[in-house]
This record gives sequence, structure tokens and C-alpha cells, in this order.
Amino acid sequence: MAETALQENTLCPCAMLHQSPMAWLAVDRNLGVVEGNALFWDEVALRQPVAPGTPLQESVSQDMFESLRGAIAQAMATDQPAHVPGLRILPPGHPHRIIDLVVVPGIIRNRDVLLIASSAVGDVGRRVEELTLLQDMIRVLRQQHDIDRVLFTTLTCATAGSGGLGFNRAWVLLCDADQHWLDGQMALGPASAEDAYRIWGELTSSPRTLDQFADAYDRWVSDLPRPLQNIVQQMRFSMAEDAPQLPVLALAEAQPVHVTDAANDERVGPRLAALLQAREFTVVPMVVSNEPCGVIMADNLYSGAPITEGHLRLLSLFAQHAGMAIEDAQLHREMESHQRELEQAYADLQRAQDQIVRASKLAALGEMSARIAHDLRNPLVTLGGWARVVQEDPNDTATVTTAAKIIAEECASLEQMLSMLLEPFTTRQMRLAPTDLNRLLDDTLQTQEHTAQQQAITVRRNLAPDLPIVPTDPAQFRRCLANLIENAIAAMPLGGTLSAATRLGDSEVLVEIADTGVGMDQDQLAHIFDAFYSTGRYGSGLGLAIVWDVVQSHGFSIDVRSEPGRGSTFTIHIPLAGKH
Amino acid sequence: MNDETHHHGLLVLFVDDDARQRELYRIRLERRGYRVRTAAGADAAMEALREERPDVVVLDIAMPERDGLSALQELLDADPRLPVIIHTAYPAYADSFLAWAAEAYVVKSQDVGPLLAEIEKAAGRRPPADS
Repeated sequence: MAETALQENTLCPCAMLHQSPMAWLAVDRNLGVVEGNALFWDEVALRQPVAPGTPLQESVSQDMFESLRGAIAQAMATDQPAHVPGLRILPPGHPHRIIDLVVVPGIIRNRDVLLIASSAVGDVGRRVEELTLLQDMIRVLRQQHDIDRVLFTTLTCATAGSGGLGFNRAWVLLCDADQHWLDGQMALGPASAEDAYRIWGELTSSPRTLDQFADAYDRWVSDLPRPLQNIVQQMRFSMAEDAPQLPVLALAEAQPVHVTDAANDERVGPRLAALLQAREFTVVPMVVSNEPCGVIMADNLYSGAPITEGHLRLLSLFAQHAGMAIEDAQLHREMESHQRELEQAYADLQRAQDQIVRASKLAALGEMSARIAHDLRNPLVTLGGWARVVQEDPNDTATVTTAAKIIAEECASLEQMLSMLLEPFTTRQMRLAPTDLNRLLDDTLQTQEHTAQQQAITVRRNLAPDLPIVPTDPAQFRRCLANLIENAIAAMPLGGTLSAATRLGDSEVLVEIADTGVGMDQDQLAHIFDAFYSTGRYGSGLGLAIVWDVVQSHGFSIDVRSEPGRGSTFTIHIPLAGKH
Repeated sequence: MNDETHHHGLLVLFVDDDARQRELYRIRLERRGYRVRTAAGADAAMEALREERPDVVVLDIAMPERDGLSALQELLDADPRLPVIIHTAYPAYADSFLAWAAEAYVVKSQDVGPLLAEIEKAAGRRPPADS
């Protein structure tokens, strides 16, 4: 395209050529400069225009001259355009560019000339180049999620000569959570001029892509350039001061600042000037959703290359994306730390819960041991005591008879206690059968009526006559009722009334065992169905736990009303199927 | 048994909700010359106290009718100088603050010796030679 345009242009008035969006330079056949446009000097030759007649060799870089010489010779020999593809333009400390040059034989002002031109450095072309560069930087940046890697990649983009913005040195400063301080976070760049030329020399011979630069994070972290990191650590600017330092100012106004002469710029405080030691530098704000995030600072300390308008514009554009990536990474880190906190809290809670469960099991075990010790001691004292009474006076036949009877009873009671202790919970399969609750309750009452009478307890039955047959496991349910009756008897050591009742409710059958015994307070009520908890003097503390177990496994429910000194009433609720 | 005359006249009020133990201790104490009254609970004990002041009260503190320790308090409220011996199957109760108000704390045993010693001590007499 450039070629066709040039061939046409060779015949055009010079004014037109001067206004062309192409960069061009005309040389005569002796390789002396005839003239060129400003674009060529600014963007290709990277220098001030030379006087007409200046040899080409002195007007462009040695590299470019070497590349052009062959093409010029070819163009002169063939009278055809000759191409110089992929010429690398390396503005010191600036992003490098690759351009294609073409050498076209032509005529200007009636002189045979050779036009050296490139169309890729015009405004449009440059914008396309810039956008491509920016896009690539953003792509590399967005691959990172860890905050430190995001910072490193940001700085890599700012400093990489190829694929990046090509600044010599760059820093990232971030606001703290309270927006009180702007703190240096990370720096990238050579530590000295010697370092800089060594690194740039290496990079010229083996260029790296932006991805390769960004991947170098791990190696870089293990070998931080100390002087630069020292500067980072000293970069701490208050955001609350009346006369804020330049980085804070740039952030507050959300405008990039370009300092060209630090020593004579009153915006630059002595501390910052001393830290950077650079004559020219720039501070570009990172603002995300109208919230200050931080700044990127950059300079060309070693190359001394001026920071151009375009350069600044690119860094500003890039800074917005870097800000967003940093914000995302911070959120990411916060989320991770919240998650860790949550996980920790959960683990703590579980540990605490385990401890509580263990402690309450130990407490229950301790309570049970104390109760068993007590329950064993009493019959042992009775047994041993009565045996001694017999020993003391074997001839007192009346007492011997009493003693023998009591010893036998006490042994039976001990045996019963042991079997209750050893009785396992209802682990066997339920065997449901149609149950006449009145009959089951009456049978169970009869087995304990004798004990009740001995303790001066009156047994009352209030059995509803028209009770429906319900499915229960009769063996288990009998044990449940027996435990409730035993419990009621144990609660009335000085006598009282035991009431056993069945009632038909709306959609349920109620079985009620009530006593007029010692009763329980709220504290005791809260624990009565716990295993090993016992309020009575006898019993393993398992009785009511077994009641609970049986009631639950049947799908019934049980409630208890009780008042200290007045007695307790246990009510089992048996739902009737189909009547809900 | 050997010196039963020694204890004639000393009235022991034995409070325990277990009828077998009441009967057991009645026999064992009477055989050693004590006069014995028994009570099944705190109320009966208070009644006995009103009828005739015992020289020593032996009180079980695992009675379900009323917390034995509050029975102790009630007895001492009625007669602050009444010697009360706590007689229990629970060794742990010895640490209870209220238990300190009692004259002595005897853990139930088939060996009646320690109880007799405490009864004698509480009544202000020398312990019997026989246990």
C-alpha cells in the first residue's frame, strides 16, 4: 500500500508529500539527505532534522543505515521499490516498535531521489500500535490473581522494553485500608546505570516477550534489587496532610503528573526528589470506581530519554487497568483470608463442641459412678449390718428371722439394680403388634402393686373404656411403662398416690403416670431423660433414658409436668394413624 | 454389749428414709445400751425433736423427701446446740459448706464403730471400749 501511494506521490507536489501521514525521507543518489518530513525525524530517525546534503550515514542510526544501504542499492539498480521489513526502532527507555520501510526510486523537485518511507508510524498506525500494546499488557495482567504477582506484572508492563512501556524504573504505591497512607509496595528496574546497560544489552541480543518477563516473578523475588526496594520502603506519604506530597496530590486530583525538572519543580518535595534522584519522572494515579487505589511512578533515570505525551497517555490508560487488577487481587486476598478465618472459626467451634461433649460425657460418667457407689454402699451397709446383728446374738431368733428376710430382700434388690445397669438400650428390631394399652398398663401395674403397698402408696387406675388398639412393641412398651411406674414409686418414699390413666384425645391416645411425690425443679426436669441422670435415691439413672428411647423409637412423644414437693406427671402421646 | 449399762439413758434420734436401715441401727444401738428413736424424714425428725430432745441426731443426707442438708439446717434452726452427725453413703458431701455445721461426718459402713465413736464424742462422753 505504501508502495503504490509513494509511486503516485513521486509525481505529486511536494506540499502534498509533506502532509502525508507517512514518514518519509528523500536522499539523492549519493546518499545525501534531500529532505524529510517531521514524522520521519520524530518517529523513525528519533532526532532533529539534518541540513540538506548531510550524508544519510550521519542522519540515522548505524543500525538503520546498515539496513537501508542494501535496499537503496537494490532500488537504484532495478529502479524498483526495495523493502526493509521488520526494522526495530528502539527509542531509549521507550517501547520499541517494529516498522517496515520501503525504498522507492522517484523524482522530487525534478531531482532523481530515493524515497525512504514507512506508513506504520502515522497517527492511526501509532494508535493501533498503542492499542495492541495496551491490550497485550492487560492480557498478561489479567492472568495474575495473587496481589504480589499483579504488582510485579504491572511494573513489568511499565518497564519492559519490548511489549511494555519501556520506562527505566517504576514503582507501585497503594493506599492503606483506611486511606490514611500511600505506601510503596514494589519497585522494578535496574539498580544502577551499569546494571541497566548490562540488562538492556542482554535483552537486545535475546529479546523476551511480556509473558516471559511476567513469568520471571519467582526468580526476581528471590533476588530483589536492594537499592530500589529501599526506596520503596521509604515511600510512605500521608493522605491526610494539608500540603500533600506529589503522589498523594496526583491521586487526589486523579490526574497524571509529569515532572520534567524535579530540582526546580516546587510540587516535588525534597524527600521525594532525594529518593528518586531523577530529573524527569511521572506519577500516574490508579482510581477504581472513583475510589483512590494507588499510583504508578516511573522514570528514565539511566537512559535520560524524555517522557513523551503518548507515553504518558499509555501509562495512564494502563494504570486504570492495573488499578482494577490490583483491586481484584486485594478482594481475592481478602476473600481468601475471610475464608481462612471462617474455616478456623469452624474448626475452633468443632473443637469446643468436642470438648463439651467429652466433658459432659465425663460429667455424666462421674455422676453415674457416684450414684452407683452410693447405690451399692447402702445395700452393702444393710447386708453387712444385719449379718453382724446375727453374729452378735445368734440366739435372738426373732431378730435372726428379720435379718435373714432383710438380707434376702436386699440381695434381690441388688440383683435388680445390677440387671438394670447392664440392661442395654433398645437396639433390637421393633416388633409391632396391636396393643390393648389398658391391659398392658394394668398388667404392668400389677407387678409393682406389692412394692407400692409396702411403701404406703395408693394405686389409682383411670382407664378409658373405648380406647382404640394401637401398634406398639409390647415388650418394649411394657418396659417403658414399668420404668415410669418404678420412677413414680421411688418418688414417694413416704407414701402417696400413684395414678395411672389412659385417655382418648383428638388424634391421639394419652397414657399418663402421675405421682404425689417429691417432684422436680426446672433444673432437674431439663436432665431427667439424660442417661445416668437420676434424682431418686435408687436406680441407675437409666430408667427415664430408656423411657425416652422407647417413646422415640415408636414415634411417640412424652412430656412431663412437675412441681417440687407436689409430684410429677408423665404423659406419653400416641398419635392415631389417619386422624391427623 | 460388754458395757451396755454405760450408755443407758442416752437418746439417739436416727433419721433415715430406708426402713431396713432404721430397723438395723435401732437394734444395733439398743444392744449397746442407747435409747433409740427413728424418723423416716425431716418432718418426722422435727416432730421427734419437739417430743423429746435427743442427745445426738444421726442424719442421713440422701433422703429424697427433702434435701438432707436443708433438714440439717431446719434441725439446727430449731435447736442450735443439737449435736448432729451426718450419716451418709456419699463421701463427697463432706466437702459441702453446710455439712460443716454438723458435729461429725460418718460414711455409712457395716462397721458401726466409727458411728458409735462419733455419737460418744458428740454427747460429750468418752468413746466406748467396744465397737
